[in-house]
Amino acid sequence: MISPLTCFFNQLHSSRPAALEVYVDWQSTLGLDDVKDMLITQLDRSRESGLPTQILVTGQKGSGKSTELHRVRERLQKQSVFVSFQEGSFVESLGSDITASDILYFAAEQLVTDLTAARIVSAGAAWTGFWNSLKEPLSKLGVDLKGPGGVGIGLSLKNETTRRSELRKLFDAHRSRFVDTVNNEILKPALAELREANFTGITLIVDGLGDIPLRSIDDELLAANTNHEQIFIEQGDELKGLGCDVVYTFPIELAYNGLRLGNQAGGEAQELGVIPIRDRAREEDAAGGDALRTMLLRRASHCGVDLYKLFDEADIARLIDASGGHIRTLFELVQATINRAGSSPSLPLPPERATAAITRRADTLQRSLLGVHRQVLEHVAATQQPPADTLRPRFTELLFSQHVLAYYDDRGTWYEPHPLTDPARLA
Amino acid sequence: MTTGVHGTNRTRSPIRPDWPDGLHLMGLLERFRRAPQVPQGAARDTTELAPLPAEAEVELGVLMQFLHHADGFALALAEVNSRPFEDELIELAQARSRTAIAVVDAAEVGWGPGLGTRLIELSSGASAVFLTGLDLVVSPGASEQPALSQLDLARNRLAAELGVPLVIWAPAYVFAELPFRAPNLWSLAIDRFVFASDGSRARDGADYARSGLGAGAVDYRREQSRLEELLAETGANCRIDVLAELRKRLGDLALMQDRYDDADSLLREALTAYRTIGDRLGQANTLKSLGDLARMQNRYDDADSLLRDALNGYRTIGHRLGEANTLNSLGDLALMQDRYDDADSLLREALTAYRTIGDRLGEAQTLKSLGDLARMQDRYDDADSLLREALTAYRTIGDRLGEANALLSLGRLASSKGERDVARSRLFEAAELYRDVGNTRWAGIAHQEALLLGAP
Repeated sequence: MISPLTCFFNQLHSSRPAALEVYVDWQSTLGLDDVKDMLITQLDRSRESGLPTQILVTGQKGSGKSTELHRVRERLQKQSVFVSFQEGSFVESLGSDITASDILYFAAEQLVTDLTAARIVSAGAAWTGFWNSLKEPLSKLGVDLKGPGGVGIGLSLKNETTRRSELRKLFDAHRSRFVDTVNNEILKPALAELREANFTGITLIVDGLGDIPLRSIDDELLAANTNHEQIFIEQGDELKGLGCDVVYTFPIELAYNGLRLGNQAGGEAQELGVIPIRDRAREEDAAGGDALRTMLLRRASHCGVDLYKLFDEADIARLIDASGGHIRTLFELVQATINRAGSSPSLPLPPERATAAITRRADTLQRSLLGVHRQVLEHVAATQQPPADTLRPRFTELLFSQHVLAYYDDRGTWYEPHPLTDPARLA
Repeated sequence: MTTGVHGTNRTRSPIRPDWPDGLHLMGLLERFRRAPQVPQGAARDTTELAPLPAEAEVELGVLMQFLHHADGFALALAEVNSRPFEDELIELAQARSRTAIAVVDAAEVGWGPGLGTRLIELSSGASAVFLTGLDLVVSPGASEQPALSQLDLARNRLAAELGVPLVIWAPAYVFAELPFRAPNLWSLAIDRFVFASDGSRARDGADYARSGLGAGAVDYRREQSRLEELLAETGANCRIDVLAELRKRLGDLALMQDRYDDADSLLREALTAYRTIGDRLGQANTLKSLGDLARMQNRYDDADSLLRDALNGYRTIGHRLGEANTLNSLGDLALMQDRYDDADSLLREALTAYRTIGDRLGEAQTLKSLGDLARMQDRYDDADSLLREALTAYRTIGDRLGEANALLSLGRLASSKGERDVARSRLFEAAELYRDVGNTRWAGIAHQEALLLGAP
């Protein structure tokens, strides 16, 4: 039996999508454009028109993107849409070597796996049939066709780095037939079968693509400067191949390349911002702070902890302010404060505990910065926008490392240095 | 010698006879070769262990609270400024914990795809995992950090499947690399615990920022001057290790920007600071940078002397990655001076070191350098064998650019031997691979070299 405090501590792990009972729909509370609503609306429209759509969505690490996508999945399922959810675990094996073709393959594989699990037997048969037609060249590459889902292509792509290049060549040579098989022999019959069971459509969600490691492409002859641009812009057409609605996540730095990305995606890319506890004019936005407070309260009461007995209200406000509205930072600050509470803490916890957690985190953030990073932070503080091209790679680094936070309102995206990088906020 | 933990004796791997005896005391080699430990049984009486400095005692208490609360995967960072002290702290934490803590050494994990799975396997049955030895696989300031990149990619699997808290133990410079080299993993770190063996109080965020370090510093000289003021103001009580690291990093930056005088000055100051605090790894890293600087300035004698000092430093503390990288630099230096036999011998030593620590990329690159050297000496059979080995190694780790480079060298070798068809085929293959990885410039070069060989 774990103590209420331990239970609360573990409710704050933001690496796991929030369960429904502790979820706070902060976007609707704040009156912002809700990413979920926008995705659902676009998907509804697509099903009505019968023309499949591909939607791109991004958000900073720890801003609640996966949680929101799971809420979208649940809402679609309530609308009797068959939803396949690819968590993006293949990114771990492929790293920065990943291509748009790989994403297409793993997305389709997930779809077939889920359809087969839902007893749409024809899906598995068509999938296996396609790969069996390539049995000879595949066996020359040593690929075992007896893997999960009927074939071991995915396993080979992930594990056989030696043969990955040859496998991709083979796949690329047969890509149009692959897409044709998935669309006409798998999706169409599956949709017909699902409609008989009162399903209204099929949607595939591909999460985890925002975590593809960034790699520079040092080649002046190419338009793409990074592997991210290559996958989502240069090779973006490949991601449009599937004949069902697909939601792809994408790396956040591409959001400031929104126009090219939007054109490529055939529509608007959606961005989930950090919760604004201050607005664009840096005036306090009480609703943002309240939403974060409610997140803590729900998790605390779920574990039988009285948040306001555990913390002085002023300390909660300080922790929220130090987080900059970034959910993961706030949760980790609260966890670090609990670590410093001792085994039999007097309540509420003395303010020094929160101070220690905040200053330690600030130190951790600041010590990794180089002079050029500080130059970028100064620019962001002054303009709330990314710097000029030469400093863009450094800005991207800071966005990934959360030294810079991305916010979103009805005028679009703006950026702020993380409050813990600002000495004035700590004084 | 360390005694038992939780009532059982720690198993120590045999010490290699060619290592200095002094390493027994440091516990370094044990750490490097230590198998994962999952102690069993009753808690050990900790009174036999020396008391910790007060600040470290507080930090260890916070770490124990973290372990106490974390039910399932949770990540924390334990920053420590000396390896023997790290061993002592780990032993204390194990002794104070009522559950089994697995200590996994980075050298045991094997960096590459599947890292997460291996770490999970090595941690089987434990209630928490301490990952140590990252300092042996991370090169401060290097533009690529393969070990951290793999750890970053593994974090989803660890979060989903490790099922117990993970504490990474490392010196400050390793954690300074995390936000940019492993941003996904870094974003999951709940807390950082700071241990200083001399009991000095860690300068934390607010102090750190107010001291001037946190202010925007665009001008490196201004920043350098600020650092010197801070050093003069706070003397031995401040975090000299932080100052030394910053100078080293600024020096490396200056080196990258071809500002050689600045680099020389910054690196020499970093070296002095590292010597003041007795940080031998910091000294070795800085000597290596100074050696590379001298090599770039064609000051061959200075470069040789500095790199050999760095090599001795790395060898003394058992830092095999640093040793391998320095041997590589010395090999390059010998090549620049047309000392082919010396280059061959140094590169072969580097190869052995890379193989010992399982650094497949270093191994592949050195095999290729050796192959190119053999080709320059007209030792065609050796060159062929070495370049083929390099090609296989690059393919094993999935480095397609390296694969293309090796194919280019093999193509040029075949051309030197007059095997035009083989040469043409390899060069076209290299060109195709260069195109695949988006390097059209080298694709063009390889393609052109193939065409120059004429039609089949």
